[in-house]
Amino acid sequence: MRRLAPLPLLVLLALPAACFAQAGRVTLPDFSDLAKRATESVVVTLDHDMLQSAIQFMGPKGGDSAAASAAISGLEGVYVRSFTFAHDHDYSRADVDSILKQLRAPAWSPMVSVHETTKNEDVNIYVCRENGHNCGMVIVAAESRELTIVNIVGNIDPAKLAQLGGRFGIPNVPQAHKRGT
Amino acid sequence: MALMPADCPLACPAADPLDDGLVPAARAGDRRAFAALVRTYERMVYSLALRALGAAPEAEELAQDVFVQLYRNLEHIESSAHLASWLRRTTFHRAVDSLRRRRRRPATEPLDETAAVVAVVDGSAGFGDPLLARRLVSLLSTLAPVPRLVLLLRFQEDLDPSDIARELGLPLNTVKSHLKRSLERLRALYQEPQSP
Amino acid sequence: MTDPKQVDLERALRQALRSIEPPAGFEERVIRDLDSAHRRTKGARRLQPLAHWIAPLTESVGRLLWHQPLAALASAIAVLVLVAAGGLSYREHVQAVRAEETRGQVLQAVRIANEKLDTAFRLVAEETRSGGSAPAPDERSDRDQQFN
Repeated sequence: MRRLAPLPLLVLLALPAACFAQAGRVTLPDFSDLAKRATESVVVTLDHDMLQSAIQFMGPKGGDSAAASAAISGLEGVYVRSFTFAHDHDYSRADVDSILKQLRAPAWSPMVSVHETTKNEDVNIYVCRENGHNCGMVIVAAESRELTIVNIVGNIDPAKLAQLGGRFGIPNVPQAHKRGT
Repeated sequence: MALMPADCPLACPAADPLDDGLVPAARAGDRRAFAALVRTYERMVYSLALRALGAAPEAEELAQDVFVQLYRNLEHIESSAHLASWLRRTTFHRAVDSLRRRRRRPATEPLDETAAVVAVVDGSAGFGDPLLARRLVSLLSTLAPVPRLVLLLRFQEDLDPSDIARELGLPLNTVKSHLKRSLERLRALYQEPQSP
Repeated sequence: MTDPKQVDLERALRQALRSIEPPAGFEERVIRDLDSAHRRTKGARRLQPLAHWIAPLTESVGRLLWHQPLAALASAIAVLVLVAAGGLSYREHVQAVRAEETRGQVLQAVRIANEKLDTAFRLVAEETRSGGSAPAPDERSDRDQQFN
């Protein structure tokens, strides 16, 4: 005999997805069309389970592995979509705006919002706060030939990320402004 | 902050009323007491090392060496206050030595990536202006070793110039001069990044 | 970002230079360093890494293979048993590869995030130099306001 799904389950399935939205996480559009046009794509999708599996295997060793484990253990998810194009603005602003719209929610606070008029580029950085703790960060960088969205979910401190100035393979600050896009 | 003169132990008081007993216990061989001392001061030592050297693996190695050296020199530590001073002084001298031994590196050499990720998830610092903080920390690397560490002792550890001078065995005017010139340099670099 | 000319530099330095926690396990590693140093000074013999045992065994197997094939087969099996006993399993290898891939992806994400922070700084600095004031974080552009 065919059994129907229990009623509570049906009710749960009917609820909008937003009710289950994870704090600090934004819904990323389907960028498959964008990826086809891009000359270079970076897609990173690491949810909590994947990060925790990595920690379990890294184990309590010292030095580098311990530091990596400590870093990952504080994160709930890491999501990156970055596309490079051969021509200027070969992507739709609608994709960018759909993400910025989600960041209007009360939990999100804008840290930086800068727009460059001659090249029509902008960078928006938002941080999520919940119960007095950071719950995530979103960077949306819409440049002439590159669109990048970074969503790091978890207890992340943008100030700490910013303190790495001049490192990480990026020129020191006094030279940074000389780079073109 | 009450500090012991650099020529301790002769000038140290016989007993520090705030001493929690960890130093004598660690000196007697109590590993748990020593571990508690490490927990108490690890943040200070590691932060000084990291901001001085700019590379987390080196900073961690230096910080570990400082504590190993502390263990071997516990007999010379008279109190908790003396201990903090000893740790800052030892970290200072080791960091200066390390910076002077280091070969010149190009400006684009990347920081250890793992350390970068660790720094990201330490959410204890709160907000502030992240871009400003980023810029200032980056500009620290333009300072010579001794002025850089003097600046760190002043603004990270909140020591007065006279305390810094006494702790490091430097003339007070030298410390003041280092601070004045360092701040002037940072201010000039920060306001005019394209200076010729 | 704050207008450079309006920055209270000393206050900004205090905020930027707040102390940082060392990586997790730092205290344990210090104690381990002390224990290691203690064992070395006591003259304790270190355990040989597994490879140091394997290398001479494989050399022996090679020589046997030339002269006594059956004995070489037996020795080879013994070597394989040793390798397995050392815990070098395929499953662990796969897990190690996946963990390393995850680690690499996390680092790549942070690298990209930092690069975009740099871009933001560059745009703010350019705007400041051109005479405009950097927008406060809570200012909203006309473009943003259309979503209210």
